[in-house]
Amino acid sequence: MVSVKFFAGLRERVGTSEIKLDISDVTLEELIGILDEKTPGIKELIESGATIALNRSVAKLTDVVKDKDVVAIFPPVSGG
Amino acid sequence: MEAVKIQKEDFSLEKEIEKIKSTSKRIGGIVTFLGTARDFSKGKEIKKLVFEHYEDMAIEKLKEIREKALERFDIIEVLIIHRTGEIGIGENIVLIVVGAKHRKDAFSACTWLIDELKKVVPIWKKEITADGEIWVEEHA
Repeated sequence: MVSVKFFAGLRERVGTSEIKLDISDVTLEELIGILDEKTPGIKELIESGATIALNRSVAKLTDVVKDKDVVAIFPPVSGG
Repeated sequence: MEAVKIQKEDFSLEKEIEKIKSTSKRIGGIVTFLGTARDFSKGKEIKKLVFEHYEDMAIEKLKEIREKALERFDIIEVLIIHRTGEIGIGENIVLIVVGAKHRKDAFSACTWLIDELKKVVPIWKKEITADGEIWVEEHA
């Protein structure tokens, strides 16, 4: 299982804080495609400036996701 | 000393400054940055703020920027606290305390740390106004 977490405004627009996917060995780009099939429109939301983190580090779309990984997708940060 | 913290509760500047002081007798200058909640933003009156964070990653990123500051600048100790949850107008949001031998290094490190925090630490601010709630999704 791969856990995909959403935060802040993106969490509200997606409508959930977490989606679990039974996948492994796919790129983040492929993972976003899978998410978009389940929740149409999610890809567009992500492409409009979201950051993607894989296991708590900022990741690239070509990075590969494995079983038990945690993906986090979030809008630009605004702490401080 | 817990050098980075994310917590709901308020903090005491005096206590945190004492903690920094107690880490080394070499400290000759302490610079603090205190971020507080203001009541007005982009023409809108703010009633309160709500902060959300990605817990595991936010703590890791705070540790990371603290370590980087200790490497980049000639400073002795750094302490960072960021509050989360609901924060009323005028309340404390974030505190950075830098202890160094000399003031210049402490000022430079403190400026770098707050700029970096605003860029890389996964914490988000929501402004609650009379007209509704707005997530802030750009660097201020």
